[in-house]
Amino acid sequence: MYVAVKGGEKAIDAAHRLLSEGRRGDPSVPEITTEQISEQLALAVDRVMNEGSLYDRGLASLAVKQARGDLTEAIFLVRAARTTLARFGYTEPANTSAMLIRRRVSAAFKDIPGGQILGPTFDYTHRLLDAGFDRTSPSLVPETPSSEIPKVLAMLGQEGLIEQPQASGTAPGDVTQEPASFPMPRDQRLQTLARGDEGFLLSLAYSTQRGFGRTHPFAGEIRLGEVEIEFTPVELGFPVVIGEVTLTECEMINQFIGSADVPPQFTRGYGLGFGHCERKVMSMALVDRSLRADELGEERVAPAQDEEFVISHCDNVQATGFVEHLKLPHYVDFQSELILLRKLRAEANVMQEAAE
Amino acid sequence: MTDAAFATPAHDSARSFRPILDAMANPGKIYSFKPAVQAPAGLGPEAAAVALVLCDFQSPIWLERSLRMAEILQYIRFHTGAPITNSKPEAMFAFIDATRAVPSLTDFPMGTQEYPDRSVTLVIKAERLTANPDVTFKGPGIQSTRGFSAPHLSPAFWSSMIASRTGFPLGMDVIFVGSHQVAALPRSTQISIDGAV
Amino acid sequence: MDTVSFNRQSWMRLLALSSWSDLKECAGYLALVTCEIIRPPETGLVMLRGRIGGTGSAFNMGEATVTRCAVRSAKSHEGHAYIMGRNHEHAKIAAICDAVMQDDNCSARIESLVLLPLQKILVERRKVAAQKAAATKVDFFTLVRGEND
Repeated sequence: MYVAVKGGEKAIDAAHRLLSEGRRGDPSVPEITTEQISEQLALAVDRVMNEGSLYDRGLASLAVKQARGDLTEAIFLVRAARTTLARFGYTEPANTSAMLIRRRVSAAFKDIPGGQILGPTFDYTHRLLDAGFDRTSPSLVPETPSSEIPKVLAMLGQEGLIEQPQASGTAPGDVTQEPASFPMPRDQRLQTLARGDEGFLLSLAYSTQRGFGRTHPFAGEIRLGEVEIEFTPVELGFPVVIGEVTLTECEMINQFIGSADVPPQFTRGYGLGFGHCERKVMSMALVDRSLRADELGEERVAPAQDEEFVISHCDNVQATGFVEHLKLPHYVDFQSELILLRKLRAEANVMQEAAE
Repeated sequence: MTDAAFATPAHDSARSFRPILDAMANPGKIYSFKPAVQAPAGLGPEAAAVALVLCDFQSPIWLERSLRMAEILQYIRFHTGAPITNSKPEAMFAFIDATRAVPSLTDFPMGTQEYPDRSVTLVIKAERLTANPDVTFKGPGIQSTRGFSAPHLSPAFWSSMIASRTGFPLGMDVIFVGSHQVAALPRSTQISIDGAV
Repeated sequence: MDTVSFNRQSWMRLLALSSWSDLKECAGYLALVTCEIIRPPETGLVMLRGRIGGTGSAFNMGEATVTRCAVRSAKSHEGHAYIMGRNHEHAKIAAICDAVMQDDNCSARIESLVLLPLQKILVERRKVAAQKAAATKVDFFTLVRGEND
C-alpha cells in the first residue's frame, strides 16, 4: 500500500523565514546591494552568467545575493529565471576578431602584433592576503593602443601549420531545445561545455595534462574584452547591433597529427565564455580537444575523452538536483528496502537454524 | 502597416492562455474568450490571441488560403516571430477559417512514435460554437459525454478527425474559436457523429 | 533638409550601445513625442552564438536578456528597438528615436542633439578602456648572453 504523507507546511514556512534572517545576517551590518555585487564581486557574477547560461549582470547579481553567495544555487536561480522569458531568436555569431581588447596574451609566441596585453589579471600577484588591497593606488598612465590586434592562431594558419576551422553554414544544434544524443556534434558539445561546471571541467582538463588523455597544450591566445552582438529581427530583415557583451576566449594549440592525406599539423581546442572567466575557457578548450578523440583518430583511454561521460555530467544544475534530492523524503523507498532486508535476514536465520 | 496586439503582453497573454488551457483540459466545453487584443479584421481577436499566446519563432504556421492576406501575414510575423509556411507537413499550427474553406487534413504532421508532440495543432475559426450534439465527445476531461457543434464543419471533417485518432498517441489537436468563444478537441477525445459513442 | 551621416543600422547600433544614463541625458525628452505603441516594451531572450575556433561553424553559447519595442510616429514611420538588458524605457526611447530619424524633417536635429553626443561618449569610453589596457602591454627586453660576440 502506498501512503502519501502530507504536512510540514508550517515548518517549511518557518524555515524560509529563518533562511531570510540568515541571509540578511547581523542587521547592524549594512545590507549589500546588487550593484555592489555586480561591481565588486564581478567574477562571481560572471561565473553565474556563464553556468546559468544567461548574460544579464543584474539578474546574476540578484541571484548571488538571494543564494547567500552559494554560486551553484545562484546558477540554479538564473536557469529558472530564463525559463520564464520568451526566446526572440538567435543572434549572428559573435566576431571575437573584432573584440575591444582588455587583455590578450599568448604563451606560444613572445612577439605578436599588438603585443602581450596583461589587462586585469591575478597572474602576477603574490597571493598574499592583504587587508589594505583596496587602498587607492596611483592611477594608470594611459598608453596609445595598438591599432590592430590580430588572432595569433591565424598567423600560424597562414603557414598551414595548424588546422583551420571550417564553417559549415548549417544552423547549429541547440541543447536547450533538443534532447542530447550521442555521438554529439562539436557545436552542441561546446554549448554544453560553455554552461558546464567550472570545477568539473577544470579537473578534467587537469587530468588530460597529467596523462589521462594527453593533449600536449599551449595557450595559443587568450583574449578578454567586449564584442558587439548583432541580431536580425524578422520585421527588419537586416542585422542590428543590440548591445555588447564581455567575453573571454581561449584558443589552445595542441599536439600535431598527420595522416596519409594531411601533413603533420597542430590541432586546436576552443573555449568561449561570458565575462572574465579564463580558468573556465582554458578548461573548456582542453576538454573540447580531448572530446575530439574519435574525429582525430585517437584511442579513447581517459575520462576526458569519453563524450557521454563528460557531457552527461558537466551540468551542475542537473548534478546538484540529482545529488541533493537525496535529502528529500525517501521514507517509502527506504521502508521497502528495510522490509526486504528483514525478510532476507529472517530467511537466512531459518536456513541456519535448519542446518544446525 | 503593422497593427498593435496586446497592450500589456505579460498580463493579456496570461489571461488569454487560461481559457485555452481550460478548454484543452475539458474537451468540447465552450469557454468565454474575450481577449483584449487588436487584430486584423480577417483573423479576428480570438484566433489572433491563440497565435500570440501559443506561437513563436520555432512554430511554423500554415494559413488557409483565405487568411493569407498581407496584413495577417505581417501581423503574425511581427508579433509572434513565427515563420509562415506553405507546406502542410512543416506546420506546427494551421489556422483555418471554417466559414470560408476547410482544407484536407491528410498532409498535416501527426507526430512520430518518439515525439508524438511534433504534430499540428489546428486553430479553426467558426462563427458560433454550441453544445448541440452534431458530434459527441467522450474521453479524459469529460464526465460522461459532451455534445459539440460548429457550423460549416461537415461530416467529412469529423470523419477525418475520427480517422486521425487511429494512430494514437499520434494525431492532431484542435482549438475552435467562435465569436467570444473558445473550445478544444485534444487527440485523446473520442468522437462519434451519430451520438452513439 | 540637411543630410545626416548616420544610416539606420548605425543609429540603431549607437542607441543600443549607449548606457541608459547617457541615453536619458541626451534623448530623454523623446519620451514626450506622440507615438502609437505597436509593441510595448517586452523583455525576452536571444541565444548568443559564437564560432568554433573563432572563425569556424557557429555554436550556441548561451542566452542574453533583450528588450524590444516598436512604435509608429504621427507621420507613420515605424520605429523599432532591440536592446540587450531589461530596461523598458531604454527600448522605448530607442524605438521613438528610430521612428523620428526616418523623418527627413527631424533627422538632422536629432542627429546633432542625440546621436553625435552619444557617439562622442561611446568613442571616448572605448578610447579610455583601450588606453588603460595598452598601459599593461609588456615591453620585452632580452639579456645579451654574449656567446656570439
